[in-house]
Amino acid sequence: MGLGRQAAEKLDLPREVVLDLPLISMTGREEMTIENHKGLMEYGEEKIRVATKAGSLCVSGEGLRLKRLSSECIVIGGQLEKLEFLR
Amino acid sequence: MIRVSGFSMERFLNMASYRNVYFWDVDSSGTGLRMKTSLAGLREAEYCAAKTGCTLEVLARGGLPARYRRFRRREALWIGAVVFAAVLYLLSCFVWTLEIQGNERLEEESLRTACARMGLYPGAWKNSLDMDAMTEELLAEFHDLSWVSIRLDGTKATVRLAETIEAPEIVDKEIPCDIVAAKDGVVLSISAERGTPLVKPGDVVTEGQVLISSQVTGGTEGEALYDAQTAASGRVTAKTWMEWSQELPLTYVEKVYTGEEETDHALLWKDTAINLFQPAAEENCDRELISRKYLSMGDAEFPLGWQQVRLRYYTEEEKSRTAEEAKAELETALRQKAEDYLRGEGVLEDMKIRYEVYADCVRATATAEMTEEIGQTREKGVDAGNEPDGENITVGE
Repeated sequence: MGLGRQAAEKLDLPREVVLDLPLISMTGREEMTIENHKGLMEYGEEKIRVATKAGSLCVSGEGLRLKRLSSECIVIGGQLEKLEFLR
Repeated sequence: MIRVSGFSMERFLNMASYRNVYFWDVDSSGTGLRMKTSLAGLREAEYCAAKTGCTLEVLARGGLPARYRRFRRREALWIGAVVFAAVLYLLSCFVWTLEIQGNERLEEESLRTACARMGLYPGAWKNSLDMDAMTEELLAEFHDLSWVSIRLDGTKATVRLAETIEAPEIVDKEIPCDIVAAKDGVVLSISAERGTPLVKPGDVVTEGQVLISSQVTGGTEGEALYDAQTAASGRVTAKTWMEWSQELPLTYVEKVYTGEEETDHALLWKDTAINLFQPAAEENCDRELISRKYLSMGDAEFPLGWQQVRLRYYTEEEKSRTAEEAKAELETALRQKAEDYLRGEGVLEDMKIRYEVYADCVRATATAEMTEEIGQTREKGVDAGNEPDGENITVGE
């Protein structure tokens, strides 16, 4: 276990800040916010891949679209079906 | 709104977001992506597109800067906007409505007149109002007010006030009064609170006769008795008689509604109704107001309005009634008359009705026997109560 992870656990610090992990929040299956991303890898109506520190996050569904895109956060809208971390 | 097309759109997006360009509403449109960005972001995006080998085209421009560029040359529009703001400000400098809350005894009209005299009226210039001085003046002018507050909410002035508690009616026991009979009758009971009763149950009294005298005799045993005057009070109930008569013709005209109805619309200016569409006939119909509405905006009401009146047409038919029907109707009417006269303060004991039937009408004369209170306070003449004040005593306290 890395030092950062231990510190985060012992001191109860937010991991997404200490370990730079993505923070993903979803509203039902119609909207998804990914903070702390590392860039877009693939963009299409059925599949969006986002690079994160925890691996590449693959979101599949129908009619997917980017609602917002900035260096800190990505908001994906549409009918979300599957969420997958690829190694 | 821009459209980006090319082979490495993800690269373009990553590069742009790395350079802090903010995109929203990203949609894929056929071969490329359609998205929205800011004006500053557009310059960065153009650079990123060139770097990543994508083609970028601007589809539309929106938002405040684009709109400003479009309307920059239209002077009349800007003048209009400034004039609008100025007029709005000017109009908000006046008091438009005056509301008075909390008055129960005081008349609203007199309060409004007083306020208008002090400068607070619909149409007054707001800056010229001195609320504190007006509050003071109102309190000084109306003695029935215990508290006043004047508030301005925008163009509406609200005068909120509290009235003082009404002073109870003071019965002056020093002024000598008699209880006299208000009408003729036979006394049934008498109870004197103060004063000397002069009649007893069973006595026949006439109108104006003194029932309870203000004259009282005081003094303890062994000493000389002395007379004093007091304000007599008490209750005297008596049996009284009243006579009423009424006539009812045997033929009469009755309205028979034809069932035909019509709605009449009219424009209202203040209280005057301006008829726009004349109804078919104005005669032989009853008018019944259905609705009356004035144009209003928030609390402000305009003098312009709309009213609807229902017209119900009828025909007049001559009818006749028998003498028996007329008698029954007369009896009901006379009983009602007696009840109205008593107003719940006495009891109708008996009623004898005499009928006289003529060729065209019936005449009824009713004699009602009632139990009611006949005591009436009457102040004694000045010469009757000229004893020194110190000798006045009050009996029964």
